[in-house]
Amino acid sequence: MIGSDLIWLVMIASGLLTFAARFSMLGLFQDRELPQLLKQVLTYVAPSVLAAIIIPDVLLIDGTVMVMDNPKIPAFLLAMVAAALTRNVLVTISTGMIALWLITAWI
Amino acid sequence: MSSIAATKTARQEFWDGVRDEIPLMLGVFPFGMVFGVLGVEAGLEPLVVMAMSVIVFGGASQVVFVQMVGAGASGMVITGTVGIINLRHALYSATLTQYIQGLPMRWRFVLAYLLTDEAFFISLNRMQTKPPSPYMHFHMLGTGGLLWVMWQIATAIGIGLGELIPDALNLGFAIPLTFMAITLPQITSIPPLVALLVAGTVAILGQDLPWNIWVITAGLIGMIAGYCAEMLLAKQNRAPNDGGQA
Repeated sequence: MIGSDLIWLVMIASGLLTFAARFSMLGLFQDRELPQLLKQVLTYVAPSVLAAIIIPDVLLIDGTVMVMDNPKIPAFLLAMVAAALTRNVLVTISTGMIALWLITAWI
Repeated sequence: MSSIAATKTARQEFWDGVRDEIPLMLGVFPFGMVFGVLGVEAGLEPLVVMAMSVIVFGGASQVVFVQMVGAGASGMVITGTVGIINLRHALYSATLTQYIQGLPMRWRFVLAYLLTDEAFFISLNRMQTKPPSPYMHFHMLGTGGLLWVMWQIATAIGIGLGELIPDALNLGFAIPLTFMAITLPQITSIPPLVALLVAGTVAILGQDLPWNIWVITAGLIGMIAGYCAEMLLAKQNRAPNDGGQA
């Protein structure tokens, strides 16, 4: 376990690295255009980066892919149906959470 | 007010941002509480857990941070992992800067600090789908500002309630649901679907890679795949009489 002085150092270093990533292109391209190719590739930032977070979150349980006995999958699929039908964030999240609670209570 | 006042004022943009961000709080707030609980469970002092939400201000990376502390990882490994998880924000940074050309550095510092997944994508949606305005950055001040305040409150509540919040509630599941609600409306054609499927596959295959490098790797490969799909489809449409190449 990290000591209590070191933890602050680690935290500040982590914060600085995070800020550096966030500031990077905002700082470099203040009033210059991005290269065209980069612009076009960046139009896929949402489906790519978010899928990279979502899909492991749903499919993995304790670090292994679980397709059977994974209550998150049916709950997530129900939430997707709700999202497609309503386009409403509140309805989507509520549907998924309530579905997960009901499925886990059932099993 | 003159009749050409179709552009919103800075104040209106700010409050639009706050309003647009409110529904996301249903996902963000439980996640902040989960982080607070995990931080205390990992053996960190409440002040440290609270400070992390201010200093790092990046949900997923904070959870990984406290889990690694609990697992006894070294400071170097923790810092490196947090940095790599949050590298994706450089992609958001590059996207955002296209919409705020010429904005002064002090604003760029503020927006960079507030540049989280849930605020960025909501403000990006405003920048892409509504008429441009010289005050669009105020929209992100609204989304990011509300998110920041709520993240701090949620962290504090998580620290305070600790084990009173049962694991069985699976509150962390709110995050993939929130991201899905953001992503789904974007899947309107083949290329973004390809980007999503490729990124998801790489993310799963890359789970054993060190330093959580799979997040940025999957994101980048997904983006390139989406772009390639777009180019291939455009090529097919341009030469319909050739009978296709493949």
